[in-house]
Amino acid sequence: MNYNWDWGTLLREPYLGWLWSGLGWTVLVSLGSWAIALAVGITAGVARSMPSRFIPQVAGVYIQVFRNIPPLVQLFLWYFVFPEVAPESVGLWIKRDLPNPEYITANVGIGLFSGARVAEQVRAGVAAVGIHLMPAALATGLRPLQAFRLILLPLGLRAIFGPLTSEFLITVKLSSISLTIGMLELTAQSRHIENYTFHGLEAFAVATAVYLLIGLAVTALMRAIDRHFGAARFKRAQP
Amino acid sequence: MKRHVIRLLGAACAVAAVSTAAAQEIDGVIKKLQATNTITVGYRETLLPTSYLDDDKKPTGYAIEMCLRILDEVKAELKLPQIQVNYVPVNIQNRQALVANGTVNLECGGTVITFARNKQVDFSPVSYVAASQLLVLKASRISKLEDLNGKIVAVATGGSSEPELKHIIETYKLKVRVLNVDDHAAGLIAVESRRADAYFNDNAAFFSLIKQSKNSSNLAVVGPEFGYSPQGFMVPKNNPTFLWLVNHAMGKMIKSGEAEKIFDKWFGPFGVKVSPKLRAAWETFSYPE
Repeated sequence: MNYNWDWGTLLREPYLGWLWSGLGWTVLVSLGSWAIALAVGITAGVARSMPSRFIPQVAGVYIQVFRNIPPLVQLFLWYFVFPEVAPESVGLWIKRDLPNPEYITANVGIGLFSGARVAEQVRAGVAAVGIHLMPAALATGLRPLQAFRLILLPLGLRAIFGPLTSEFLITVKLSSISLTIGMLELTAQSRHIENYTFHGLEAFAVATAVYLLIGLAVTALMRAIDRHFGAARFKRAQP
Repeated sequence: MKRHVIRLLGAACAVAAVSTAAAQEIDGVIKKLQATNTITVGYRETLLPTSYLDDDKKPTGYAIEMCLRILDEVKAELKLPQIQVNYVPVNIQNRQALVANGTVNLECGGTVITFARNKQVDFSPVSYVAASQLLVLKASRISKLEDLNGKIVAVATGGSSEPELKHIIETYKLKVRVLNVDDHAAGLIAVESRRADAYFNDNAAFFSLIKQSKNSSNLAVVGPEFGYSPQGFMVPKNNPTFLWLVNHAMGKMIKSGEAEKIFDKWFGPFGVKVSPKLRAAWETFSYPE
């Protein structure tokens, strides 16, 4: 292959600046959508495991809908379709007056998709500890909601730290689909550099390495949290 | 599409091998015209309204009409009984090669005249000047660059219009939110859904976009023409007489106002008039007889 490698391109301005700002947006989109995913996912996961008939069904509908539609389609629906079917004034507000509509749409779109996946993990965690602990908690005189809040949820969440790490990593990688709605994150900036310099391979190689580093950092972070609060510590405390 | 291109390129190479001599020969086009009364004209298939296939799949458009008028002059000047025009479709990738090797005698499309291209082919006088402009909804009442202050402007990531927009924002000290879009279609959607107030791009791309739009009457192309990309018709090198005939015919059309009439006929429906830059180029070329 006749490819003229020139890694120096990436160190020149404005390309270095583009990569930096791309990295910044990737981190911001990842954190923003992960915050939404955790908040929505834990809420839906808890609702799904509630000792009630109606609430778990509502949560189930959310999980099935959002888990089964491809995230890219969801993003397009939120970005292109939702503002058009909303009342005109609301739609225009979303499209124009919302501060940074692309960023917020990306967070909502990716966050709600990941949220449905997190919800299933939460449900699995609660179910795993609940099968034995729920009768025990009820036997101590706690009401179902109290048992849920005080026993099942804290232990269930600790039990799912491993799978949650994977969900976090998936969310980081999903942040790249936000380029389709105009977010200039890491992948978009790599393409951007390719357009101007025809040195796309270098840009994408760096982007790949950066994604890997972000992934390793996320894994290390989740491990650290797990050591201090999670099941790992819980296990160590056992005799 | 890709196979089509490869086939064409292959054909081009084969023809190149045979006709290099013809292309090198001085005034090959004129000799061919006198011997066979035929000429090969290159056209673009989808470049609205400059050069495209009409509903009957016949090449038509502004550039085609200009070229046919030029050929009328050629016919009169060479005292030929008739000229048979053979149309060959060309695209952005192969157009220059096909003219350079003599397969196409006159390329009637919208090729930007650059010194790099001029090294391999000759150009007719300027037929059209492309420049960056704004595609807006008529209701937005944006008519000049200053009106963009406080507005949202869509721009295609990676094109030449992106640095231009940045330059405009800095020069006019505008407060503009830039919306990055991937392609022309996304730019059109952004403007039509009012996500952006304007789409800043090469105005040559706007005409087919407006044609695509369901509510084309709501759209307008406004703003001063930013940048200068003069387009012309390509002629093979080493054809001084033919080039002179083309130049002379176009010069006459420009001076008589016929060129502007043809321009208005094709660009008028899109609300485009002869721009100051095109007029300047035409006036520069209005040599006395």
